[in-house]
Amino acid sequence: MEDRLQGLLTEARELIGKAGSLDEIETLRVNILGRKGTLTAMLKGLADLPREQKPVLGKLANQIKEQILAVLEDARRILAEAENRRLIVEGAVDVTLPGRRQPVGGTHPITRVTDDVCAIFKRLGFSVAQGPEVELDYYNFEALNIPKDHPARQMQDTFYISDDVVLRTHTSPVQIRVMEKQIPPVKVIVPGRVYRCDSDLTHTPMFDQIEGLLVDKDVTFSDLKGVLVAFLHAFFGSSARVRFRPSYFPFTEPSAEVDIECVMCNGKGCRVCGQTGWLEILGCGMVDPAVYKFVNYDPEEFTGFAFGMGVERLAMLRYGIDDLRLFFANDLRFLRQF
Amino acid sequence: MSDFVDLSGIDPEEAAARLTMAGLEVAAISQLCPSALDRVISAKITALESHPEADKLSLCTVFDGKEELAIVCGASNMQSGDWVALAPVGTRLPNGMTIKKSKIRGIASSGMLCSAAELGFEEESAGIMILPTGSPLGEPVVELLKLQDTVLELEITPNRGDCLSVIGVAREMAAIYKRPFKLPEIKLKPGPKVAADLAEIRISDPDLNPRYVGRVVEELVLSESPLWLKARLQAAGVRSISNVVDVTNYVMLETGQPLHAFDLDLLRDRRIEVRRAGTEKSFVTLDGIERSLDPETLMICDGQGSVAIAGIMGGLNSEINSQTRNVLIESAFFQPASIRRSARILNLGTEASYRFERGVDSQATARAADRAAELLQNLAQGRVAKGALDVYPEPRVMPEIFIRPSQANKLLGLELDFAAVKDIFERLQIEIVKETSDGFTVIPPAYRFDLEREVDLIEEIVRLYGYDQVPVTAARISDPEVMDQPDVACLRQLRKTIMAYGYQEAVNYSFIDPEAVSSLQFDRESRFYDFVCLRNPISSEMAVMRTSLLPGLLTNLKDNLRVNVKDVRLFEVGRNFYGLAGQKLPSEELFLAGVACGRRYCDHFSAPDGAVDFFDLKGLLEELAANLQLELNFVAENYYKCLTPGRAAAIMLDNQVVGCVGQLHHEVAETYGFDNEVLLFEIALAPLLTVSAAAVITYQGLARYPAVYRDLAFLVEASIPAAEMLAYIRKQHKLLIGAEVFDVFQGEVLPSGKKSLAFRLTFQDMNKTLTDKKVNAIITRLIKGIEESFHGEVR
Repeated sequence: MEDRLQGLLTEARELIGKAGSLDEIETLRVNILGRKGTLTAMLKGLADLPREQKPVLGKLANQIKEQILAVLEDARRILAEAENRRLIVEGAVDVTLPGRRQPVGGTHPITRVTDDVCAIFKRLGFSVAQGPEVELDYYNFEALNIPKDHPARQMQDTFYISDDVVLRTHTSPVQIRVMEKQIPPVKVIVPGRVYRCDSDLTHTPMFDQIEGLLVDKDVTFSDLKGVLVAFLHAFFGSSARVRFRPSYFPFTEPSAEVDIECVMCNGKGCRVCGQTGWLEILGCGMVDPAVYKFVNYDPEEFTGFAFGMGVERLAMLRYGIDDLRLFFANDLRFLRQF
Repeated sequence: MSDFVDLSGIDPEEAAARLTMAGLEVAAISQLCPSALDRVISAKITALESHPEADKLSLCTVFDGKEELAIVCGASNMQSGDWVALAPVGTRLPNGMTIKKSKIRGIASSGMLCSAAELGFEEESAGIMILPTGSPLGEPVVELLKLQDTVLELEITPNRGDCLSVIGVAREMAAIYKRPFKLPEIKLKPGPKVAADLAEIRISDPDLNPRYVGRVVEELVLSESPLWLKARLQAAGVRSISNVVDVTNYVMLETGQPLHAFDLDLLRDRRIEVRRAGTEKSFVTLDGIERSLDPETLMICDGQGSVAIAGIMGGLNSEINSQTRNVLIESAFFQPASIRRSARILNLGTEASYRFERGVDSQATARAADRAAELLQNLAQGRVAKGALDVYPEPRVMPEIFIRPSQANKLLGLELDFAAVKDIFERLQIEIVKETSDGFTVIPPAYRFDLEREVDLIEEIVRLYGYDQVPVTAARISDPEVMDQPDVACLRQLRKTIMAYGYQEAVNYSFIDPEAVSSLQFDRESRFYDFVCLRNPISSEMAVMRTSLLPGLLTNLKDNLRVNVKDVRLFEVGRNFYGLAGQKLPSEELFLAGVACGRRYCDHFSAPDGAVDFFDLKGLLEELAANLQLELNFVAENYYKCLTPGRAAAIMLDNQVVGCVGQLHHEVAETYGFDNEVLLFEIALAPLLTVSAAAVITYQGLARYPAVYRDLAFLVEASIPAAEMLAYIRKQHKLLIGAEVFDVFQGEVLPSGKKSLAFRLTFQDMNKTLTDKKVNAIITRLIKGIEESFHGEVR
């Protein structure tokens, strides 16, 4: 019996050593240790042995079972590791192949810049107002102190719908609409689409403006400078040099053009800034008392300022775009860059 | 300019910067003559013979003060002994030509004799330039002719008509640099004749023409202008015509006062009358164009009829011509508003009208006429008749303006005292007539049409004080941040979602071609044809305001396909415009539209990708709705006729049609040249944003008990919309919390005209674990309900 047990162990070791797969190991386990297995059968035979042999052989049989189990386990582990290695090798991919993409779209650069500009002014306490694009001559011109035949009308080639209705040539009419409805303090920013009857390399018949208006007690030209410098530093970076120089708009007085140091050449002079080192960015000024007359504000009580800028120009400077017409061509090769 | 203000020690670049900062923007700085011309020198022709090999060429020997040079010349206007302009070898001329030592028809030539045109002094020259005899030799020609000057090009704002002249800018320079401004004395040698005997002037409409000055110059010799005059006119962009015409233009550029020279002998009755056109219907201007007249337009007439449109353009009938000997110079002040109106009606703008519209100095009319007479006397050997014909019935009175320095400080944020304000007014020649404890009463100079009110003077104060000297305050940047309005926030969210679906935002012009709307086959009676039309469109393709965003997007699709971008997904958020319809203004409505074509995602080597289809767009819209906390429904209705029947749905919000989604009809696709399926949608945003902005998000507790899922398939008539069955199922029982379609099929094993719709149902009780018994009971009732309502049988 003892020899048979030892023989079984030897045989089991041999068989397990030859096993090439986890399935074979399992089969061997069942054949040896299963309910009908050879060792199990031998263990059942222990019952027939003489009483004094039982403890010794029983112990031996258990030791042999333990040993076979250990051998099985070792073999299983080795094979499992080999199998895992095989699976990993087989499952490997070329990680340098392209990934599977779900392209995300994007906003138009005009929208991006408009949103950024509005966000800055909202942080400065301006709220957003809007107005119609097809506008009454009254709001677009008359109430902004630009009567018929005024030379300033020549500054803006106007699309007419009828004698009294135009496509707004600037976002300024919204100033009037806001002031008509609201008593000061008024602090609004007005993004919007505007139209001028002009189409060439540097003009499109439609473009985008952002207008601002602040009217309250004791608003000064100094405050205007404060707000616009804060904006320009937020938009172009706090190192951008800014200058205000006198200009003319019929609806503001004093009026100013605001230039920043050319972002392309850092003020040295280049093609973009016309060798001047400065870029014209905004028009602005203190609201002309004549405008207050149209909205029944008392110019002795309230003062304020207004400003306006072109969105496309800001976008061109920010992204280095050199052709205005690209904004409205909607070529995906252009749009996908933003 | 140095004739009027001392410019010594002032660098042109620095002057340009100062002018710009005072509101006279200098757009460009250039030299009257290119600096390369320094090398062109004076020389004398010492010998002249004809070229032995060519008739038209001459062989000149010239002496430049140092050496004699042999030069072959093609001109014929010179003689031996003439002083000429010599470009030695190595000189680069303004036209880009570099002078080289060369052989011309076998004869060596070491230099070139130049014409004025070759040196860039004039447009065209008949021959080479002959310099004044006896000039120093070997001197740069530009110096000799006093042509060394810097040219500043200014952009003058419409309020500063007074600066449309050298004198005007000189006055500004004087004010900026605090230097005196001076007008040189005019030296006339009036002849024996008296102007009043030679011509007569009468103003019939003094409301439009407050002042008219005439000056008579006789026995003129019409010729070319001297070079300095030509060069100065050319620098100002004015073409040289003849000495007489050039003088009127030159005086206008110098003084800002437009002048007109009439041929006195062509003025019938030698008489000028200024009056409204009245019944006169048309007039031929000197450009030969017959122009119809408005009765209010001011005309200059002679004894029998019109000879000029006042302030705008002279007439052909009294123009200076080669026979002209005697002229009447007109220097007048016309009402700016009247000239503006006439110029607009005539659609005719000239250098003269440009200045009259902005206002000329009514006090300087006589001086301008005198200046022209002086120049005609000196340059055209004219004899100036004694006395000016000056009709000025009611001398213009400039307004008195009261200005409070305190108000200036209040508006500007400055702390200027009376002395500072006074100093600025003095520099600007603003006369202070009275000073009180709270301010000044002042009278602005007659040329300052822009100074009428206190605020106009405040602007002058800060303009000269310096905008850059005004402090920058932080008083108005410390208000609390403003948050987005709910609808703006919704729109932002909507853009984010549609971008996540791969759509790029497009921006199209708001005007479209009405033909593009026709090609989309909208109903003729629909509002898509309710156009807002432009009176003066750029072109017929941009003639009306858009009533749909789709024409723009379809054009974008076409353009992208043309440049081989095949997978296109574009969206646009923009306004559509619908007719005036009795309202003062049209209706402007915000829409969202999208167009898609090509592959659903990107192709990947692991598996090919399908083309985008109807359900991609519908899915996008459903996701947009979910994101905006609202529900859109889709019904099979072809509201946009450009869509394929059966592949188009109307989009409903609360039983209102808000838009449409579907596949472009193949007939329309063909007109655009599209080969592949094109999907599109357009939806009105106002109702969506209104509903969404009002939506409130309320948290729902998470289930603590397991949900039960059951699949159920029904055989129904193929025509039954899935949405109706889903809606029916979803409202069957409160424990039946979800139902989705997971399979649809037709044909093969199924009876014809039938389809199988399979639903996945989700049951959930928030308070306890559901039992099969309970679920089964609900399902049994559901099956019975479907049988009754849809004649559907469970499979």
